Amino acid sequence: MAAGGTRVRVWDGWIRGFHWLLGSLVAVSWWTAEEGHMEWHFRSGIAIFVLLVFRLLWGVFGSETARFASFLKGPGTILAYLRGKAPRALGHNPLGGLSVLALLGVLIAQTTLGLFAQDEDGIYSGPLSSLISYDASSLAGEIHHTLFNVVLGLIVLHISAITYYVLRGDDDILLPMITGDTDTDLPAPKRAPAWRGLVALAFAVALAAWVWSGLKGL
Amino acid sequence: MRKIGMALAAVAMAAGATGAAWAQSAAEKQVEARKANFKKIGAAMKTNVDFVRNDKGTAADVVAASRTMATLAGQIPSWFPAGTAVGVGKSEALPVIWQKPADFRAAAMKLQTAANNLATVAAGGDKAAIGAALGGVGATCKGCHDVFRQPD
Repeated sequence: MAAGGTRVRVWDGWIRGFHWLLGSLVAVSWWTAEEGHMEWHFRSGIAIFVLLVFRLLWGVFGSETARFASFLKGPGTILAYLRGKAPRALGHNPLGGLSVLALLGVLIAQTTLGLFAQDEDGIYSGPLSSLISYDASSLAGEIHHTLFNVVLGLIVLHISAITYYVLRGDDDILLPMITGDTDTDLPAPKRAPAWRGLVALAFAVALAAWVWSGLKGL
Repeated sequence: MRKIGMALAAVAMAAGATGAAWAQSAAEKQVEARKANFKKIGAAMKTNVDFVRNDKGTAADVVAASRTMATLAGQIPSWFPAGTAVGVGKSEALPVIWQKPADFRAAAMKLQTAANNLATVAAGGDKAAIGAALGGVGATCKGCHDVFRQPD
């Protein structure tokens, strides 16, 4: 991804929208929980649920750089990358792919726990808490509370890594997540048509609405 | 004789230390019992929320849970013996509970009143009214916690 060559779209609008909305909503979720604005915490949480479902679909049906198959690499490739011997490519580098996996994994776990969680007083509870017992829901709440430290840790690691790449200056990693474009002599990655993004988003919203209702009709 | 005296002193000290440890654990036990009681209120709250929000159970379940809640609410002041404030075990009870006992009792009575109201409304079976009455119960929980419980 060295400078020079032609300008290509490396991150489509869906991925950039997902990325910055997710970061913002995690911040909103943190703040609303700390300040006790739980009604807004729930809204923020279900919006994160929409984003995560969309991202999983986009990882299979989306644009080339968004697809899990394009950026999840085995240990051999990751080691080669660390030794500077991996082939140049657009999108997540092999180590970044691991980071995406970890961040998505822990956020999926965190969001799922939140759906089932309650405070011990039973006053604030996630939309699926009625499916499980009082004790199980309280436990989900405790783990939800503790796991956020892992979320924070991964975000600190993520921002540190980006800062390192930016300071090193040889990898155009920050601006493309804002503008979508990078200058390269590599061929432009394939982009998924917009209708697929709309379908994935509609599915994610519908699923979230059903979860929000407490899986009504199940 | 001096050795025996020292041995007796040592035994007395050990007994004193054990007594202190036992006294501490008694207060901690009171805190644990209190937490268990509040969890019963929480469980009753869950029954009510599950019905109002997710149609789980029946209005009769809400009546029963609200009555349990009202009964427990009447006992709340007795769950706070002196010496069980923050610092003892996992206590989150703020010292203001013992500084303003009348206010604290009044806060507990508000829950009792709201829970009794919920039981009455739930017996009527009107779901929207039950939801509103449940909101009233939640407000008394929060109102008391905001003043008398240590924030997270």
